Amino acid sequence: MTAQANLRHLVAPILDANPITLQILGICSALAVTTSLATSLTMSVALTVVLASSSTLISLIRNHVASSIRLIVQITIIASLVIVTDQILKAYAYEMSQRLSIFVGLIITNCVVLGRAEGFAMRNPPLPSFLDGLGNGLGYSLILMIVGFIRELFGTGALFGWPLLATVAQGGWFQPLGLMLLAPSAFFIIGFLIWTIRTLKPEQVEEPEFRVPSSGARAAP
Amino acid sequence: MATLTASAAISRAASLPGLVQTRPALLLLVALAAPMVVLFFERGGRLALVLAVGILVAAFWSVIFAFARKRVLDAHFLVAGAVSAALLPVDVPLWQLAMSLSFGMVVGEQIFGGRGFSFLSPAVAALAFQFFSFPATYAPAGPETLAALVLVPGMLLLVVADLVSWRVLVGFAVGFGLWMLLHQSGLPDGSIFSASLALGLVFLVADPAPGPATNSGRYVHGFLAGMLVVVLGAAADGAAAARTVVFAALLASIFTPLADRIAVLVNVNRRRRRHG
Repeated sequence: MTAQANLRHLVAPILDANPITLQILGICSALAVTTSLATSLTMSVALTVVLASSSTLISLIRNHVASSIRLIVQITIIASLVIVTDQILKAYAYEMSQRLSIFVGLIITNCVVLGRAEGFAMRNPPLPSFLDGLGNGLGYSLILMIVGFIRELFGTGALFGWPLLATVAQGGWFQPLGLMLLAPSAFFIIGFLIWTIRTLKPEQVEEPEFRVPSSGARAAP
Repeated sequence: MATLTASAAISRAASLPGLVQTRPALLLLVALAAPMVVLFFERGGRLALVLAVGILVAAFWSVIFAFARKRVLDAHFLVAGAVSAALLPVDVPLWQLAMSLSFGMVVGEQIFGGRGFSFLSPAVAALAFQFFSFPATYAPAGPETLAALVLVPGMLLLVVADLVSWRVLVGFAVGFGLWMLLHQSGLPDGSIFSASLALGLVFLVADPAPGPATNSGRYVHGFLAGMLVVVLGAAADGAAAARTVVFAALLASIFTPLADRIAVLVNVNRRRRRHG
């Protein structure tokens, strides 16, 4: 029973409650870092590590924090973890940290992290909190990897920097889509992903604000 | 008025009740016919191929979505396909055109619920996609002034038939003229009266379905588009007028819902003050 519930904490955020496509959180970094798979992967790992450890730590101290200062404590923990991650990247993968510029540092403000701390870790024991953080990190990573895959492949003809499709400039046949390297393309791809997921899982569809009258019906005067 | 009755008669004769909505699209096509004929002579036979592919791709997506939604098919895809073909260079690779128009029809129009629900003209979305994705298609065309001139009667027909708002045209003229005067520079020679600019003004900027819904919004929309044509045209010195007018129409379309919203709020507040 418990094992099953724990597994649910881990698996649910990957597709059924995906932070990007269902909760529409963390869009900023999803637009900014997904021009190539390498940056998407680094960002995914960084966020997943920060999210899983911050959820665990916050859950450990959840009964010792006064409610009035809980946000400050949460942010302090998250910021410390983000700074450590950023410093590790700078020390061991300097070039990659240059390419990601400020977006690793901006994990502090990523709504997914604070959202899971506030919404889950403050009310659940450490193990479920860890699994929830890990699951949400993996859900975020999944979307980032899909978007990064599409954008790098169609924008440059390469994957992880390895040329797969021979571009016209190199004497091949593939004409790179310039739009894929611009931020709007990530918006479109995430939009199409949301469309696909909600077509497959209609329970995720939101109630429409307005209903279009069917073609036969007349609008009331 | 005579034009109006004549045009109404044409469209009534050609409409298929219940299945296809043809009236507005047919009038737009009548207006488009004369410049298209001139462009055929100026650009050569490949335009026919480009036109056919454009219309086929636009038709494909419109029919699929109309079928899936069990809605009346709006024949405006004919106009969207034809205008996109006319605004691209005649040597555009056909697969690029097909890709851009698929994007334009689906993301620019059908995704919002079809014609009349979107804030963008599908041709604007398609052409913007084309120009962003394949910058090589920027190659400037000649001004093709004759095609622009023969569009004038068609434009008047559309104004009389209420398919092109004169307020948008006036706003455009004021915005365009004012910014030309302010900057003392304006556009590279020839692009002022180019076919691309004229077609873009009538079929992209003044497209009634995604356009503004309030009269003040119409002035603002036209003004913004006119101003942006000068600003963007001057910024990209010597660029094709098609690109200039497409991005001007795109930016103006994005801001127009805001202008509409403000116009409605102002009106609501004024009436509330007057009537308590």
